[in-house]
Amino acid sequence: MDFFNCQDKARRNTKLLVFYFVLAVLSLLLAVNAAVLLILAGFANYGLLIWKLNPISSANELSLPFSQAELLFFVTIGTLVVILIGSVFKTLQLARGGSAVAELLDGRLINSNTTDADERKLLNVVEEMSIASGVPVPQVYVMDGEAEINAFAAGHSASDAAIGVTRGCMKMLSREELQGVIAHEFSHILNGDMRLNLRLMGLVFGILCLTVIGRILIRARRGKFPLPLVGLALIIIGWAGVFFGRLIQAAVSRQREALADASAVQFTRNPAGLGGALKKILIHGSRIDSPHAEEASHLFFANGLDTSLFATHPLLTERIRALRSSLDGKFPRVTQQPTPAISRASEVAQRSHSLQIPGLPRAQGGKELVAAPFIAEHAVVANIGQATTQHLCYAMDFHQAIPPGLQIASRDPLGAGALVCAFLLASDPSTRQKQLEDLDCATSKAIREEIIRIWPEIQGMPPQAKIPLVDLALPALRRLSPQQFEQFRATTEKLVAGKAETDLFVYMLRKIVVRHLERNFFPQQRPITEFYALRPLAPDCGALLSATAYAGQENITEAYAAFGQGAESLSPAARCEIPWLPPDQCDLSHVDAALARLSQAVPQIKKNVLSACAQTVAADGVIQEGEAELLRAIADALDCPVPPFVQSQEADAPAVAEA
Amino acid sequence: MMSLMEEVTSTENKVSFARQAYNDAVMTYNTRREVFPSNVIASTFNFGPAELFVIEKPEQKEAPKVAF
Repeated sequence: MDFFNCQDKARRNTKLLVFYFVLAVLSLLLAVNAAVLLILAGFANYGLLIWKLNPISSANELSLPFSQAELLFFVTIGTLVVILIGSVFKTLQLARGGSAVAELLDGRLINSNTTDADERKLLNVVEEMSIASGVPVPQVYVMDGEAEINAFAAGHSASDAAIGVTRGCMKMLSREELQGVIAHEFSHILNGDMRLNLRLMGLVFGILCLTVIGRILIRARRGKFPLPLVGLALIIIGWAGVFFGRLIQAAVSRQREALADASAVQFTRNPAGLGGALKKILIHGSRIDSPHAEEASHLFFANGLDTSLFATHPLLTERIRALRSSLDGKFPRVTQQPTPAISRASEVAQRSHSLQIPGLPRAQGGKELVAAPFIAEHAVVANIGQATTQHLCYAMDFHQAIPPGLQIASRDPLGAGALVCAFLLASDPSTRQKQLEDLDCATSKAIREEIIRIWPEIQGMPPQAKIPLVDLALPALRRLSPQQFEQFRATTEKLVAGKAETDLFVYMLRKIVVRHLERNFFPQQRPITEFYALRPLAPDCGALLSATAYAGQENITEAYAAFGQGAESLSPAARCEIPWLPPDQCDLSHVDAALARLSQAVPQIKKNVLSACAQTVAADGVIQEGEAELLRAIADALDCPVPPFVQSQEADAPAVAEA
Repeated sequence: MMSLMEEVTSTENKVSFARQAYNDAVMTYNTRREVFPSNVIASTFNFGPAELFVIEKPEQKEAPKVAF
């Protein structure tokens, strides 16, 4: 964007528009004069008055002591005086300083030694922009009650200026975008836009006063002189004047906004910042809830109300286009932060009687949903990578609810290792005993003791806590030395292999841990995308789906039915049949190999495979917690993070089918 | 830690904006010196051109590193 050129253009246009405004006022005067003349002439024609168009004749038969020229002169002067008095009155009324306007809009002054990080950032940005524009640092206000993105600058001169931002602006914009918005506001201060706007508003009000006079005149009865008609004429002309005056004022305001955008780019030398802010406003809106919004609407960064003809700002898309930012039709994702002002208690109360998971259909097998929490299968794939505020609240509460012993354990390498191993232990006591004895020989005493110590707490954890806890333990595990990591890997392998009937979920859990850590310790082995089509992966999909089906159902016929559902969705994409594998051919090593190959496929394929797994799991009509966690584990193995399933009935004890 | 990073970022930004503001002012002044209405006065009273702020040595261009 050639900002100097744009600024010149905007200034020229402003001058042109102000000239039009002056023309409008002059034509108003002419119209008033013409109206008076016409009315008098009209009355003359009706014979009520004797009157000829003769400006200098002093002895006319009007019952007026002056000539026509003097009459017109007085009319003109009178009109001008009315307009001027009205405009001065209104301008004085509106001439509050910047701080007064900010307080009117419920702004809170930010203390200059604030400790809040967002406010500090805002103050720093304001200081930076004041250096860039050469304007002294103004007072900064925050409008706490406004969640949408908007900002304003008020003040007649640089010394009494104030800048206000909404809370939404402070929280949702990045530093660059905030710089763009603040630079825009500084431009308003620098270019005296508020002064200009107030003068125009005053003049429009002055024109409005003509209609007031007109209304007074309508009720006047002064003998033969047709004052009421003059009053009517004044009202009509006044309204027309106000209409065009407001049009021109809005046009001037739009030009000044364009000027401010160009100046913002000059100050920041970065059109992307302002462009990003405008795009976020496209999504989030810029409405101001304060009752005084209308009064101050010309001061804001974006339209605070919706009007079209009298819009004070150019269209958002036009502004973005002028910045030469690409508007490709895709909206950037902005996640709304959970509001800090809401207290914890009310947050918990909000969650407990809210919100079913969207799109929750009835079970498709006709089975009644009793106690088991229900998760819609299309919610699985739809939620990949997209945590919402609900997830955030759930996560915050979950984090607080973890027993302190486990929290401390998860933060040091030894405890974290023990935590993961404890998850891999069997629930059956005799097998567990055997596993611990095996461990005795392989690993150090410290680990074994730690495992035994935290086992009771681990046992008390519900199934949906396993994956989060394992995720929490990963940072500590990354601090292991390479030899320690090798030992840890061997230990976990032994634990998983030690069970007679290995549990798919436990296996997946181990796989998650080892995969993430391997990426950390052996960074050169990044997986490369090798598979672009589903067809060569058909046997692997078959293995995965069969294993998932077996894990979720009790007998083979049900498993086959479940598999059928999942395979159905994949077959068209694969253009071949997905093979059904008997139990001995989809044991853990096969599933391992299948997942390794699948993780080298393009993301679209992974999405389809995951969605097929979800269908398989949902085939019996209900996705229970164990199955849900299995799904999450598979998704993690494929590098597609699925956020936790946020359920509406927390209190119900879930009927978990052990996978 | 975060507030320290914020302060460092802000200070660096302020330095760069100050340089930019100076160069903008120099450019405006040099332009006005040559444009019609004011070049008459400028030549009468011998207003000289101003110099832009330029960084010659490449190491001055790098931001100072902050490491813990």
